[in-house]
Amino acid sequence: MIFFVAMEIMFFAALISAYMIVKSGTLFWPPPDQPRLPVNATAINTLVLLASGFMLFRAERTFGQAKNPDAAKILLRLSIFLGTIFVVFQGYEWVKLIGFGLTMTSSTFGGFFYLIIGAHGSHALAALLVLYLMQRKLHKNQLSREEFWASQIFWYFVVGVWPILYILVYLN
Amino acid sequence: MPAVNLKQKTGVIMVLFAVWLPQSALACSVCFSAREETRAAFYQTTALLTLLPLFMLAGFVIWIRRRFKRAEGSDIKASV
Repeated sequence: MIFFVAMEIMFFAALISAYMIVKSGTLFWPPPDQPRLPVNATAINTLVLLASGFMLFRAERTFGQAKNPDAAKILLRLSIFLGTIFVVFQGYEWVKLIGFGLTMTSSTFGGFFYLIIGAHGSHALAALLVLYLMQRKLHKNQLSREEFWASQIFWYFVVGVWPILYILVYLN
Repeated sequence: MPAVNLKQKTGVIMVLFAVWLPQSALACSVCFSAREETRAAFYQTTALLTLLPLFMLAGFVIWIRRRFKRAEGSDIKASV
């Protein structure tokens, strides 16, 4: 999983590099005729994602403790729930933005927005699916520490890369 | 006049194609813009893409080393 995440880090670094170079070549970014991104609402959504990462961290801490095995299950479910809220909100935001005229072909800005944020969204979906499978295993008491750790690395990557993308794409 | 064989004819046609077909292209990622910001962004992203894998590799080596040291420490404790 570490090698996979390292590969994904390079993938996002390449996307960020392309975005920065194209952005630096323009006078106005985002283009004046394109809709503005919902900065404040996405900031709240960022907090939701960070909270999801924290819940997963707490779940891992309680997973090893024999005193309260149900706590890990609750925390993991909470982490998945918060992650799902993040993804659903992102989908809602996309529908709204497409309605306002921001599409893949409307401008370079639109193309990059959907490419970078879409790549992150697809990773978030895949990681959520992995977490859901881990949750099912945990429920059946079949989850090993190694499996849980691997799924956590994936989710921490999704959570960790998001603030960078938010600052680069939404705030700049 | 010396006779031109098929190989030479093909060669001449290929050279002509090589001269006529290519069109001007943006050879590097910053050719589309001559702005100072683009140049700076190019340097920054080059540094990012060069150093990031090295840092990741270094992190991985440090992590492996720590695990080995921890394993060695637990072995010593077990033998005592």
